[in-house]
Amino acid sequence: MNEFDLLRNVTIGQYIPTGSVIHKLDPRVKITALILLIAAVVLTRSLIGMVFITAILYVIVRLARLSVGYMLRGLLLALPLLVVLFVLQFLFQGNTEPAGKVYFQAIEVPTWLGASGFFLRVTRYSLHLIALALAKVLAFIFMTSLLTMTTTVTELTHGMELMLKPLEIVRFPAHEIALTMMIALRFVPTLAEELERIMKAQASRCGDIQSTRTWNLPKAARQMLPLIVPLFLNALRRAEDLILAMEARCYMGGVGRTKFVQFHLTPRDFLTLALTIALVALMAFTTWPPIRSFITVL
Amino acid sequence: MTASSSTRKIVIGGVLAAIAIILGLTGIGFIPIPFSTINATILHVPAIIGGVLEGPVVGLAVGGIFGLFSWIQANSTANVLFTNPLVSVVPRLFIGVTAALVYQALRKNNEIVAMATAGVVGTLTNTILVVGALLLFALIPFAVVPTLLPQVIAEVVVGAIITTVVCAAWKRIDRGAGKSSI
Amino acid sequence: MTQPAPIVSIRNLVHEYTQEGKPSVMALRGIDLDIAAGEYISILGHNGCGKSTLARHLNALLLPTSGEVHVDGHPTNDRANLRNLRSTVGMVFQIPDNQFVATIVEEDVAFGPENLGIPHDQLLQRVDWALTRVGMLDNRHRAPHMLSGGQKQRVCVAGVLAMKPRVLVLDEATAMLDPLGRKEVLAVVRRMNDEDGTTVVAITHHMEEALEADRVIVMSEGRIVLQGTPREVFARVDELHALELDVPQPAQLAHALGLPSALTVDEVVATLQSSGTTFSSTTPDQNPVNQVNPALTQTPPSETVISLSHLVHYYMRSTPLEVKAISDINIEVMRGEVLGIIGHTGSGKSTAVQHMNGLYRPHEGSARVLDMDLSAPNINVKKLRQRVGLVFQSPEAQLFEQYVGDDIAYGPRNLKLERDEVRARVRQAMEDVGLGFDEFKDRITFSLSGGQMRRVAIAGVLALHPEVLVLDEPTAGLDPLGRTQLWERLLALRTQRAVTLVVISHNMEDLATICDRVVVISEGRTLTTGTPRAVFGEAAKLREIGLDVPPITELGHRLGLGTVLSVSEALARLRPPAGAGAAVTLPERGAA
Repeated sequence: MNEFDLLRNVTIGQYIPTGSVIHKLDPRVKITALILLIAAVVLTRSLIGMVFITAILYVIVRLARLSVGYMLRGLLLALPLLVVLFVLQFLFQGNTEPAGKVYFQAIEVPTWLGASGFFLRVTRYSLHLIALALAKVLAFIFMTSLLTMTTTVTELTHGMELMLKPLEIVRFPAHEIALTMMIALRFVPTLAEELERIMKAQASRCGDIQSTRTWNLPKAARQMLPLIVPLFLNALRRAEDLILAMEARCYMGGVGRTKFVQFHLTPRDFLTLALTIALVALMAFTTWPPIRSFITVL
Repeated sequence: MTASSSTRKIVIGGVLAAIAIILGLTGIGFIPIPFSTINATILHVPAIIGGVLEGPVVGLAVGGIFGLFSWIQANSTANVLFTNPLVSVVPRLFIGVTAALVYQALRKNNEIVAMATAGVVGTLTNTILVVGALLLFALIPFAVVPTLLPQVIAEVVVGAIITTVVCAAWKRIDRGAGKSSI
Repeated sequence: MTQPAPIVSIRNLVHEYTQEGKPSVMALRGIDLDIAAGEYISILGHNGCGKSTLARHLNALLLPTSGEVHVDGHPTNDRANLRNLRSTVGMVFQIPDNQFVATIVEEDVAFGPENLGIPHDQLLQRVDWALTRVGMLDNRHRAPHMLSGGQKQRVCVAGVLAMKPRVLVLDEATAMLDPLGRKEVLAVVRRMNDEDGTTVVAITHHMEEALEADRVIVMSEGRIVLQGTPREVFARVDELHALELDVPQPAQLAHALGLPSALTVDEVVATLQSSGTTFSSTTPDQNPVNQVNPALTQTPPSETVISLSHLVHYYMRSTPLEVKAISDINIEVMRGEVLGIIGHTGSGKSTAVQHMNGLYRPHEGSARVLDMDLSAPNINVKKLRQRVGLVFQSPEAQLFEQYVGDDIAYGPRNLKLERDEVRARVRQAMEDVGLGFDEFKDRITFSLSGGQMRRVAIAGVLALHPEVLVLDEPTAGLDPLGRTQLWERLLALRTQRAVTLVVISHNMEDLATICDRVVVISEGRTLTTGTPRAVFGEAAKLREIGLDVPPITELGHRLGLGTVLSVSEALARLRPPAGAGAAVTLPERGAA
């Protein structure tokens, strides 16, 4: 690959057309379900609960005929960060009481520091926190990937607009937000192409486009200017053109507009919604047993 | 007669949000800095520029779209720090708003100073709210905060410079000595 | 009551641009114009003559400073009628990419009718109809950015068409397209005018397009200075030249021969033949002297400076998205020559020339530039890029410094040159492109005109002191005067600074007269290489791949003059020098 090729074919969103039943759901239903599930995951403090909901999400991922490996490919890249975070948990949460069973501890904090405890302490409490965090990471990846891999960004935008439409009564600019988003999506490939051209042009003028690690911050900023300034000015110039073109095509705000893209709710959509609500209710009102009742060695 | 102001806000917000997305996707918007494993970024700068050029509403919209995409991005790359929308989306809403308010308050005195200050304030808004949210959700312990300082300084300086240069160029305002340094 | 009311009626229209803190600019100084329903009008004039301003008055994107514009009986400053007005007058702009709103073709076409509040079932019908009309129905679900330039612009036309306008305004809508794209769009417009009776107002710099019109209007300094049928207007060659406008080559020839009523190749041939004049070429093709560019033969170029051989390049190599961009490119550039490269957009021209300064490295085949082999991993890329300058299309889009002088100095400063040397180079580069050093070095870059900005951008590359200068579409989007001036500057670089030039262009007329050799690229391969005379001599071969020869060359072929490259050459062959046995008798100019 060429150093400039990174910009060719930038894609936003990760839509994978497998044509599954999940793909065919109304985007409004998918967005609603996602919001409900996120709330459920965020509020769950039980490890068993998390295991349960992650398992269900896994089933949905299979139903959408998506590859779990592909979904989790990012996890590998994030591994160093995860390890750092876990070590930090051991360092700082290890001394939180009640700690439960202590599995390992080392390097006692010297008394002259005025505190007691251990720099490295693995307790049941800290392990529990880590396991919970890990489960949540997994669930979040499943949930958002499910949405973005089965729905195009355009569908998402239309879905959002339709959902927020009722709020226009209280002068919430639903249409405006959706149109802004659509224009953003539309300009990503165009501006990426433009950026590629700018990079090549400045390289042709013997410019260094790779920024170097330096404490000379004004210099670091100046190094970016040959790329950043033309990129912004280009975008703004194109915006001026588009404003004219839109006005010429009778755009006068959202009032009185009809919509070409329409979605129709089907029984499948209602069923999905009902199941999601049931799941969230189950998560909210179940008292999950502690993990120890399953794995007694802990 | 000029274009109605809402069309203008929508379109300018749209292209600036597109830039924020591109900066994130291509890695152009990252500045490597010494003593730090995390790169400083300028991904929030389009939101600031949106605020300066078209006011707080556009700043808010650009920030919001930027936040949304950084959230989706975080989920597909398993960047655990930003998988929570309260960390990756909500703080971003305020970047362009504070920048716009500061700019509008100061522009009467000196346009260039107002732009630079908006750059500083917008950047700090992003940093403080994001770090604050990370702390709130216990995604990072408090002890990490001082180590972020080099990154914050870099982002503030670079953010202010780029905001000023781009906005002045667009508004064709002379921000320099009045002559080239040739 | 004999004549129907005009659909557009303009009375004493004045437009003044005012900007806070800046002197106001008079763009229109009293325009009177009636446009009849179903008429096809072309508006000509150099940049800044006010033609775009006039166009924007037709659908109230601008309102009169004084005077009146009526469309379909309604004044344009009636805000209550605005939606109606803008659906009556549809407008297509220059750059297709800047007119899309949606990420999918059909949704974009629907945008206009959506704004009009058309009910859903009719929306579907209108979108289908409009896309069918421009021949883009098969592409309805694609993303606009995946289309070619001509296709994009046709989608833009469909977007306007879907509002069922009665007037279609094209504001230089073909300026950024390649010849094929231009033909596609023109054909669509022609059909709308013929079959649907749509009124067309087309602003253009391409004089051949103006021939399509019922009426040509020439503007200068905010006024209409000339109007009439194309035949009437293009007969006034001297006036048009005085206004710094082009005249189509056949019309130039006809004028020089005193046949004022002939405009197109067909007409000139028919007129000459019907006048009973018979002639034969007395200057056969053996005479290799290029009359327009005599410098060529003085020093026969010998040394090869760039050699691309069996070059292959892939985009996104070793990814699932891999595409073979070029498959067999063979180009030799000789020191001191002007080499033209022609081919459609997407044929691989730009990819090929990006190997010339090491932006791309060969994936297969070889690229030798000066004394460097680009397949070698450790070449000094900076040195290479200093010696081979590359100017991209619309290079003004890459300017970034606040002051002109600093922007041009970017390259020399990257070379870490001494301050005095940087200054000297900036000065020279600016003078080479015709911008006075003291006058322009401290000007704010972004307040210059488009043509000036392009020259600043070219100066930025010249300041590196390249031995070879590669330019991708250097004149795209310029008006005829800007184009001529830029070519003159570029050719002067060759004679004065011994710079070798490689030029990609869609303008065959220009290339025919300035190039020593021309390379034809099609679908990633070099098809032929040769002198313009040899390449354009094989008109049939070029047409096969959808490229054209200059009109005057076609005319020459039809008249049996051999391959001629310019109007003056054609004239010389029609009127051979005294004593050579004149075979042609033609009425003297003006005698008719």
